[in-house]
Amino acid sequence: MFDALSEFLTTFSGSYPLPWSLFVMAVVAGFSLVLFFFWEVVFRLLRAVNPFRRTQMGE
Amino acid sequence: MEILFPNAGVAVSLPLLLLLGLILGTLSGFFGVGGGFLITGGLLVFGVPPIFAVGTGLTLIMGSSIINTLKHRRLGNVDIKLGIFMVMGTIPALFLAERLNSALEAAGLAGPVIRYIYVFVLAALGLFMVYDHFKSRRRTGVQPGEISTARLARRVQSLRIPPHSLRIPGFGTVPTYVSLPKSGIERLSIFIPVGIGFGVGFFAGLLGAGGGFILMPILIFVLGVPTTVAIGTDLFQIVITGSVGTLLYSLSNHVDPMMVVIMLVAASAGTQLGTTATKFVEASGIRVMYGLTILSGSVAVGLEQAASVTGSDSFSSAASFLLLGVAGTMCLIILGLLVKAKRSGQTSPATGHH
Repeated sequence: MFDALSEFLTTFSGSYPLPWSLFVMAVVAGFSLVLFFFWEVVFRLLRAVNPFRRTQMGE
Repeated sequence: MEILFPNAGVAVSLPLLLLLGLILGTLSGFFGVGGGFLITGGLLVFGVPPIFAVGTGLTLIMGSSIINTLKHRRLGNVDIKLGIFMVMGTIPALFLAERLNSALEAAGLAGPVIRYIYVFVLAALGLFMVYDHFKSRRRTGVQPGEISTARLARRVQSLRIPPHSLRIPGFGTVPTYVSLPKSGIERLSIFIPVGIGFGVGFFAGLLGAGGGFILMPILIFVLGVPTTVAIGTDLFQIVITGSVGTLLYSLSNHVDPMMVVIMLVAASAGTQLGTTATKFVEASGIRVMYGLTILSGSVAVGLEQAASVTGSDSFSSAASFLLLGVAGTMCLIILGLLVKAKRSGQTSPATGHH
């Protein structure tokens, strides 16, 4: 699995510069959005679990 | 536990990468800077080749700035209108600076010129911010946290720059002044943020950084934007500069996306800490901590220049360890301030928030 991923990354980056750079930007931007929403959900769950606290981290 | 990164062709310790990502996310969220000088130095210490350290660092800055900007937007700290006007100046400046950088590179001057500019700019900004903090504390009759350049900021805001209106096909005559209520600015000529964006973009392109370390103090001290809004808006701008940097470096295949993704996970956790702390820490406290951090950055770049002149690796190692040491200490201070504020039930900074 890891070998296949390494092979894909090295081959793709070396062979197709423009699609590769767009791929890198899309992956990083998409992953950033996923992480942002992940933390949003985590803090909402924390608030739901502990409703008596007035303030929570992430507010 | 080491992982081999196929694009950079180097094996790096996973816990160290996560720690670097966490530090970057925390400082980026707290200070509103990309942290290019920190991430590049850190990756160099881990043995990542220099060109990959810069390219991978810029890509990580793009990702962490997206998370930070969204987070600050939720806290009401991003002035989108001001950010868009600055971006209009930044994008052409980035390409202009890239041309100048290439010319300097061809002449064999890029390294020393960039390092000398870094040392001077970081030292000047850092010293000024520390000076402003102590000057504000000494003065009487001013609000706590008020900046020492309030008069300059008012003068800049009141500048009237011709033409006062522009004819745009399809829109008719459009005034060249905008109101920026989020930044507390009643009326501002659009040429000022566009000009600031151009200047910052030029420096960012020349130095290969996001430019946040210059923009954040300019927004506060020259334009008079409140500190927390300056931090959020600055990050919005860094998303653009980071994206352009990512595009350029990945085109030349000098980015390792796997390394970026791993560090981004830790950076996103640090972001939660840094951005939340801006709600609780006094604005002047944020500014003086930022000043001290970039002063250490200035010393570190000076040590890098000494390393290139003398050929001694020990200067280079000292520079990277200094940067990581100061950054780690700042993260612990931020964590301590946050815990203290939470324990005392504080919901906003104790004093002035400008």
